[in-house]
Amino acid sequence: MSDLLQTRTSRRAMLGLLGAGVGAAALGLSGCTGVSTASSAAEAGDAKTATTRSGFSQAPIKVPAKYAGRTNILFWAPFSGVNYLALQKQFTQFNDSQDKIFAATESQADYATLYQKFTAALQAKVVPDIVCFPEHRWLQFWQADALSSLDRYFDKEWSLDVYMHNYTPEGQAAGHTYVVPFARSTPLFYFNRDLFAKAGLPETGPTTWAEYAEMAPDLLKINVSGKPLKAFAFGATDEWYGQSHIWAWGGKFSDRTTVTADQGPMAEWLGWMNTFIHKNGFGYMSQDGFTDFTSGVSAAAHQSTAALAGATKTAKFNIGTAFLLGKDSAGPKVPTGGSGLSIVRADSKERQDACAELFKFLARPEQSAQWHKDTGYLPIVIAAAQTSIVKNLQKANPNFVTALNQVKNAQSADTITWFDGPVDNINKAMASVYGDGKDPKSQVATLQTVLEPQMKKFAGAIEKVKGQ
Amino acid sequence: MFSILILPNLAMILTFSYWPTLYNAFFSLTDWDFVQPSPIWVGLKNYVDLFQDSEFYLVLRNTAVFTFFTVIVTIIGGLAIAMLLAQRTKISGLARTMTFAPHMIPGAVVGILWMFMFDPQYGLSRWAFALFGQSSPQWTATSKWSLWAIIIAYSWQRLGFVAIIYYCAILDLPAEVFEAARMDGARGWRLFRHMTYPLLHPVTYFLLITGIIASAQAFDIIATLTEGGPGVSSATLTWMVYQKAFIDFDIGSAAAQSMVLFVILMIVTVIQVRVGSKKVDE
Repeated sequence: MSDLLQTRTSRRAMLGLLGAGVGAAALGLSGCTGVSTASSAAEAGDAKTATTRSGFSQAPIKVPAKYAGRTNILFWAPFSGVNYLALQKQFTQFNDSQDKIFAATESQADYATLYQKFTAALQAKVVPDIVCFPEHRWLQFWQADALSSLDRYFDKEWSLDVYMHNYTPEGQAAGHTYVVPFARSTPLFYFNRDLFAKAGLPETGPTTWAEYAEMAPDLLKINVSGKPLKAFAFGATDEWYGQSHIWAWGGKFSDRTTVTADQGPMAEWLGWMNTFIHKNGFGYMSQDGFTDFTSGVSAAAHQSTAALAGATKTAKFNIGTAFLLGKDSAGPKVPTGGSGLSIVRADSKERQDACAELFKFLARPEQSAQWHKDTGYLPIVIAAAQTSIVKNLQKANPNFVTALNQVKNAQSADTITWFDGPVDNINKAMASVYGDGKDPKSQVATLQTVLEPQMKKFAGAIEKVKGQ
Repeated sequence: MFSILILPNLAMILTFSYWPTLYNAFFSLTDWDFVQPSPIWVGLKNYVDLFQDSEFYLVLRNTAVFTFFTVIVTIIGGLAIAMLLAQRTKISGLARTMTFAPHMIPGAVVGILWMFMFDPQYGLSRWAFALFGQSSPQWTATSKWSLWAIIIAYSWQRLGFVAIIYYCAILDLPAEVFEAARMDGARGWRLFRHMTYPLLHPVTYFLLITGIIASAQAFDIIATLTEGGPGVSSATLTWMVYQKAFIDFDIGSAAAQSMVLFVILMIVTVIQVRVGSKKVDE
């Protein structure tokens, strides 16, 4: 699962009561529009080329008096906390840099919430101008013709060429670009540098799981608040990191439209983890692995590069970062993470043009560098790495270098993980081994049977995208 | 005149209760992700898939276990607390307030509260088990304990409500009947067994029905505490509906599960009404 993709819930009224208290589970759909809310057939046919669509208006937006009279655009941002403050800073700079456009941002907390709210917004036909979905999670909206192609805005100054190249294909489908990289990331291995030093271990951290298993006994000798330190805290939604592990073990979750989870490497990897966690007692399944890490209960954990700025501020120890661990060799492939910016197809071309201006602004090297500094997301614009902001940051905090160096190993995740349902099932299989120590082979066999029908459902979309 | 007076309420019930139910029944026969312009008709496929899914039966079992234990624990515990509250002392008022307080806390807050208490690293659970030289279970991170974690948290929240309802009912019991029983020598357990408990049957019946329905609908505590996991170890049918609908965006499957939940609750309620009305009449 992607870095900040939390499945925290917004409460929904799920069950309607019937008569004398008999529950009627009605999904809270009463507010939905009719069964067929589709645009006309002609409109649907033109959707891939049409940039706007009538009937879809802009969601409410508050415009401060000093920005009145401009073209207003609204971004529903899946960020909160430190990252949202950083985003607001970028938007303020944009608004102050010119006098034609006012860009407003509204926090939707996280990707899951944005997903739900944008879905509801499409039904209501009152939408934001910009959305930001992780990896391939925008495909569903592309298939519903909800996103506008960005290619027409590309010129010499701004195009996909300005971004790190292994992050741009994820924004394309059927030969068109619908997403430009923005808050992009990779997963990192975070470790407690102080505890490593205390255990007499190298401050560079481990490079492979085998190496870390050798280090773990030394870490377990340290007591934290009266309990032996744990070497690693796993979580219930570790699929994103699992993607790197299955690659490291020589496998894949899927190959194009074929599910390949049961071909050996996944069971082997989970079997190795089973021994690491349950037989050797080096790791454990935590309620929140990264919180345990930052509070010093665990010596190491996985997390996105996007957590680096926040963790550096909150942790009361020296944080170390390393590439995700390989099986036998260092530097395994890692999945790309984080999200990019898309323009929503609504009723105004003028607003879409304004969105493109904002995207151009955010793609300036200095802006990208500042975003990287403030959040920990990658400086996704290639030229940002040459700015003094990034150079000074790397001097001051070498942890920021790790993520940049790991980019060469980053690649798009396996096709089946482009969709939430399969990711959820992979998480369940992993959690049953990590948490309960269940037999990896049987869990993988079950997973395969669950993923196959899901792949059948998504194969068409994958083929469409791959057919670009 | 009567028809005109009930018309507004009838319209509201039809619009907000019956129409969504029918609409949901329709969705259960379609394949839709909330985003595509219109649902695709698939007939009974969602139901066939559902009943062939082994996970669904695990979730059904979880729902039954969760409902059984939360209802039993809250009714027995609530009655016991109510009996204690009925013994008037100087701190009765404070005790009543403290008993009812958990029920006033939103479920999401209860979930977060218990998430901290269950934390085996720095929660109350660690301290409590350490008193006996034991390590705290991984309450929310292992299948062995996760269902019990939500049962405990949910029961804690509902206990106060049940206790207060019982307490009010006990205060309303006819004093002269108890006086007569005492004159006949009834005391303690016998008085409770043969007088108090039978007289509380209508209230028990009410709490049983509302308890089962509320348990089957429990959502916020599960969402904040375990999110139905690990795996589906603490997922109830209501959680599964949410997950299918708003995480997987598989509206057809979610609607089919909702209809199954609806039928189950309907059957349970009909049985309870029939059995309950007999009991109350007795």
